[in-house]
Amino acid sequence: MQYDRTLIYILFIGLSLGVSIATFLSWSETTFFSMHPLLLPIFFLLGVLLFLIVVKDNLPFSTGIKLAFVIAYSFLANLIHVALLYPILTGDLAYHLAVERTWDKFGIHYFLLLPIEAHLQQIQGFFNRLYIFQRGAAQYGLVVSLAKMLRVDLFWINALLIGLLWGFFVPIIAFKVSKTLRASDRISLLTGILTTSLPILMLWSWKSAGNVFGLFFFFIATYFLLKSFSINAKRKYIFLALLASVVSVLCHPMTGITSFSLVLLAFGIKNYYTPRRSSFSMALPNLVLSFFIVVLSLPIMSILLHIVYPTYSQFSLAKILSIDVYHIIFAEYADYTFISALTYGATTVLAIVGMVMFKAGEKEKELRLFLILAFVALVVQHRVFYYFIEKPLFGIHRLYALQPFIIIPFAAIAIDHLLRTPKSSPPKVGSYKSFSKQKSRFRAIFPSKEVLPTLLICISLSAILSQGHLSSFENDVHEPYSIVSPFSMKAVTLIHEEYLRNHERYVVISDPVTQHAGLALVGRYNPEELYLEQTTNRELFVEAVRQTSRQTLLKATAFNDAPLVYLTIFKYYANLYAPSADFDDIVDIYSKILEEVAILGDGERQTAVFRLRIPREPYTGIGPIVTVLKELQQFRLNTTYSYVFSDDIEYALNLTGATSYNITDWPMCWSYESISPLPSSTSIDANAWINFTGSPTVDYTVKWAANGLFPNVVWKDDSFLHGWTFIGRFTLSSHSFTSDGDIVKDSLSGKPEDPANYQRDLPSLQNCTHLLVRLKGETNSKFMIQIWEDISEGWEGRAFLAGWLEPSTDYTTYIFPLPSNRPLTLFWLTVLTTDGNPTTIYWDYVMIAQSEPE
Amino acid sequence: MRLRELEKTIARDKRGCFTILAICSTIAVLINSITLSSPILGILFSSIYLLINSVFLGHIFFQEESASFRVALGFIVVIMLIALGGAGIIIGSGFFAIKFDTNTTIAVLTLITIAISFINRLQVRMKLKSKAHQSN
Repeated sequence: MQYDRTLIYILFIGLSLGVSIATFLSWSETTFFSMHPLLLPIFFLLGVLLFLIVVKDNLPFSTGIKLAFVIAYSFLANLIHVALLYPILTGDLAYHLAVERTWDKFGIHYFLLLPIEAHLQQIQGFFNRLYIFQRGAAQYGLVVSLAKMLRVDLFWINALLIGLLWGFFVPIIAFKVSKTLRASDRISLLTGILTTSLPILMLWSWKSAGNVFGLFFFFIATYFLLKSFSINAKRKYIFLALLASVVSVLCHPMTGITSFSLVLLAFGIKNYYTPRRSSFSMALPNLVLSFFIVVLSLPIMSILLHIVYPTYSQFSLAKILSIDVYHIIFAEYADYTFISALTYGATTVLAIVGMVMFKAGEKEKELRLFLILAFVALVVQHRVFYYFIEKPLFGIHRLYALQPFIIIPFAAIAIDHLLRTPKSSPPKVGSYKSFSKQKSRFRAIFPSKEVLPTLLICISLSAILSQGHLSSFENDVHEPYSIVSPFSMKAVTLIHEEYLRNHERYVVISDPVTQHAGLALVGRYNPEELYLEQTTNRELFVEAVRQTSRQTLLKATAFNDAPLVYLTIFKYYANLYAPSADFDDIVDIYSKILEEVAILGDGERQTAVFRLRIPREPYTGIGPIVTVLKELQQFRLNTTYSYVFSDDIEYALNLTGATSYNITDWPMCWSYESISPLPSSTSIDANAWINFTGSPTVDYTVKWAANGLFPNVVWKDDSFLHGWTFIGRFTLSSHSFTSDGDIVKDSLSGKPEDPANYQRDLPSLQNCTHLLVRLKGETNSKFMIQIWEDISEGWEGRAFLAGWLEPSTDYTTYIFPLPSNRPLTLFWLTVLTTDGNPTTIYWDYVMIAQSEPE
Repeated sequence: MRLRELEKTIARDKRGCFTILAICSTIAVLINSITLSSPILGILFSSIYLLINSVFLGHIFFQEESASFRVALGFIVVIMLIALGGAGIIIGSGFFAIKFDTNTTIAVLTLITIAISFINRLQVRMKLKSKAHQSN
């Protein structure tokens, strides 16, 4: 006997170690999801062994030891997910960690940390403020309190806490829930295994999110409610159920409100069954009322939430009319594959069978009615959301996760019934003491008639749980963006470490993956280390990868008045948001105009980090000499320069004492900007000369702009006066291309997406490396630039393409790398109207630079 | 000493030794937070705190259970109380000038211990009284 016992211990520990090792072997440096091929097979075998240990009553283990096996399995089931998906999933989980980090670091709500108008509006009234502050308060309160007590980094508490609580307590509570129905040990242990790693629960059980904590406390509240039915100390357990419901509602309203409504249902049932009730006629309506409260409380709360918070959930009869019959009957299951339907639905079917089979004693009748009514109410509640609620506040598939806590004991009862055969009525647990008296140990454990059905049932159950794990991974992992990558983690750590050294306030424009990593590290709306969020960040990031301009980064400084701006670019998102640009080109351009902090990793998760330090004072000095004719008298005059960044240098020439001026001979890389104050008359060809007349007593300032990074301009057009010809499309209702000698106004109207295309010959330029274009446009315009080597060769002859790009509404310089190995002979500018309404793009200049920037 | 005996000894809390120990452990947590920031000490002191309060709560609410279930269920209730305490600080900070820092956390943990200990001692005293009545 001792030998058998040892063998099972060795087998269980061996398989558990196998699962752990396979889990950690699945983890790679890049966290690309590649589950080790042996992981699920070993986990499956472990499941089969566990089910065999549990279902065989004549094995030499006490119920306590079997429960320990179940808890160990439950821990492993959660460990696999936590370890494999380390560091953290992006999205909600990262935001929860970020909020916890804010509480841990600053001790106040992020709404108050960096007060912005949108936030302040949301906390104006008492109830608005109460709603905002109570959201997830129990989860954040628990995680942050434990982090402060243990002095362990919040990341680890956040990552491990719910997995540990779930792994340890859910099997225990499930066991105890089953016991309240006076079920056998086998049924209770089966309930423990199924509840801890049922596929629908495995989707959530390890995730540190409000609804998961809420589910956990909902289950505890359910247990206390059931206990309040079954023993004398009713008040004590009702108090505990209410306490757990309060914690649950402070974690997530979905679980908490359902939990409270179940308490009401319990009262309704108790009232119905109480022998001292004054009137039966009132008991039944009370019961029906409490049932409908369970069904409708959550949908009604969802709709009414807009009173305290800007939400858009509403009741709609039209929704059900848009759903086909198949979906009306099967809801989400209509879209499932057979395997998925079996994985997620098998236990529910078993539970319904179990409800029918369960022979309740006098004491268990109330419990059975409570559980059945609660289950039916939850199903109907889900259908109310599915049929009638537009824009629900949460994914309504989450409601499915509430049901197993109510029905799994019945599923276990059904399985137990399947396992019973006439020849093997189960002995009482603990009867292994008489085991040694039997002659054949193996036969006693596995009587021949039982072997096959028992094995089949155990294999099937283990297969469902293993398949649940696989589905959970597939549900969560969408490479490469759903998991915070180690490169993004390293990027945000580098930035944070720099802050710790210098204590310089900074702001970060980041791709979504790095944004989540950053928020998780420094918290939300941290005024010293600010990661821009949501729409603001998205718009700036998209602009940054499309326009590769320093101006985008300067806009970010307005949020916290930071002297440092960081830009992180995750390769996948650069390609997603700027499909016409290449990640390497973007990195190449930013390497010229920003400080490169690091280029981390490779592949789709490669992450580039750049830094922009904003000088306190602009740089000034004497610039190049230009030729000026004052009243026909020639002068060689010095210009002055001023710049904050060398890619945006302003050159100025001060003139006075004459009535007419003619300026020539400024460097090719300069672009004429303005004369102030306005002269009496001007005549400009911004490529070559500037003539103007004015008063001799007025000081005139002529300004040019230049990009100091590209001084070697070999060709430019700053006036658009000569050489441009319209080449299509002739279906346009109108188009014009008129220049004032500096800016060309390129207007058109016609059908949506109709382009106006202009071309100009180039003097066969060689070894050109960059194209600089400065323009602005209206919001319904797009532009495209093409440069040809030899247009007669068709697309093969096209040397460069940029388009279709949405222009900025302010003048912006776009920089594009050119293929240096191709001669350039023809330039095309194309503009379209996106909606068919008249639109205009204002071109300031196009320049082609030859050498590599300095 | 077996688990059941240890649990009984803690639950009886003769002369309030274990209440004082739980409060001392919270003070130790505070000192550790301010000075050493050691996770090892943090885990040690917090474990003492959690164990004592779990036993107290198990004794208050789950006397009909076996010792191991009593401690486990008591632990769940401690976790719920810590979560509620944290949530209380968070919600309170929306209306009053309080911060969710180590001091407020320790204050809440101490209050929890005192409340639990008070109820536990009350229950022990009532039991003793009822036993005395029975013996008379």
